Amino acid sequence: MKENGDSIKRSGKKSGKKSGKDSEEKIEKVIGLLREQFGVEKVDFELKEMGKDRIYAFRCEEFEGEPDHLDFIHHGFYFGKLEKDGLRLSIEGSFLVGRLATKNVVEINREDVEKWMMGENLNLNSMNLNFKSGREYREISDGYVILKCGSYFLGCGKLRDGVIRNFIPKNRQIKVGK
Amino acid sequence: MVMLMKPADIFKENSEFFDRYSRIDSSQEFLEYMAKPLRQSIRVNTLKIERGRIGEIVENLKNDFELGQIPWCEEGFFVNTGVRSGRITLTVEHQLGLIFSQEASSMIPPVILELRPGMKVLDMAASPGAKTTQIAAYMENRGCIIANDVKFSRLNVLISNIQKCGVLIAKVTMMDGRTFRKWENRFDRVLLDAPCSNVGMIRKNFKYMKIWKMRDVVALSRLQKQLIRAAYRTLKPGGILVYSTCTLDPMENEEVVDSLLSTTDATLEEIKIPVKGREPFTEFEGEKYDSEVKKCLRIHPQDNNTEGFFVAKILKG
Repeated sequence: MKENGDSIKRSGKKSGKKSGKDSEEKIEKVIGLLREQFGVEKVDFELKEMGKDRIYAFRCEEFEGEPDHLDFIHHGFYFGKLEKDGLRLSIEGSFLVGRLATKNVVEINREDVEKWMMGENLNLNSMNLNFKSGREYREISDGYVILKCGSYFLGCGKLRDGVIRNFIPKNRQIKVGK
Repeated sequence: MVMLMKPADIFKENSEFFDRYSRIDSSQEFLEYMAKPLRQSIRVNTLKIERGRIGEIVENLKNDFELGQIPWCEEGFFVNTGVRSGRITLTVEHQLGLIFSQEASSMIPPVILELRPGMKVLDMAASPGAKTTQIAAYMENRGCIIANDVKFSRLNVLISNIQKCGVLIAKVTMMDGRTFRKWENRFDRVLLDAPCSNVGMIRKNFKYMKIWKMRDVVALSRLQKQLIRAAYRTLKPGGILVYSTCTLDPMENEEVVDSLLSTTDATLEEIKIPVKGREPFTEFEGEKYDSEVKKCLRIHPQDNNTEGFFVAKILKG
């Protein structure tokens, strides 16, 4: 079951800093949340916890003939954070699973993309949402949602009372007037 | 401002550099292009958008920027300043990691590595990670890349670029590249984008000319010869090693490749991509090099209006 999309894998070996039971439970929880929140049933990468509740995605645990005693400083990328109330995906996490998500995906237009990337919250009522009735947009409910615009995935926001709260990190925001 | 200075004035600031490079390229054109600011270029990150949708990104950016195809890299584009005075690094596409700012000539090494998904690749001097992320894109995030750099201070930017480009398969290590000589025949592909005197980057930042010293070139050449031997040793038989630098001194280029050819069974393959280059040196200041080095690619700034660059494609029998 390696890289064939059979199921979500979890890891706590050489390259993962945390390998305890607690960490494994958290990865199980992330897998469950991917299904519940976003309808993602199958992915073809592995997950590990590095830093409290910070989840990383990666491939290539170890390969035949890999030089021994290599001390890895880093492997893969930051996938998202396990919050008390759900899974908040990073921008890269949303690109990785966004195409597989069947619920809680909000499609916005280019104008709203600019606002979102400036760090603004979005109001569902005033947005020109491109809701579609097809397979991809069956369900949107309060909690963490993936934002997308065409082929672009824009990370996660938190939907509550019609407002999507922005989590774009400052170093990824676009600045007005520059 | 570099733009307002005359070429001759620029080089007066480092006469040792001027003397040396007069022997490498004495043309007025060379001086003129060295004094010109480098034109910007980007690579569309196909780890985040399918290759077939590169056109979508280009269309979106065309509203604000004038883009021109880079002939030797399908997903690479030159950027000319457009309607909006903003920089391309401040666009949504850049901040989402859909495009990556990368010098056009530095896109060549991954292009000629003949990468495939599933390969085991060593990027021996990986920071800041432009080529690492390009390698991952060609491998479609399948396989494994050991992305190594010797300097801790350079790892942050490497890790940050791995993140932004969505690279799943890179394992970052911090070692002296020469250590890899311990592990013989391990990798399908090795990239050695060697530490160098950065003359090609003078167009990007003028400090590289001010700090240039001949004694550094001598020390770097020695280090490069040790690194290329380690890189070749860790390459599997039948594998490809690409050696590149962003400098033009024969001592850091042809002489380094010649040293590998004379001590191992390495062979060179001609680089067949649509890029303008010039005849490599087979002799410089009394040193004669193997005529095989003619197969290397030597690019001067005026050849394609890029930074100066040198690439060798080396095969292990």
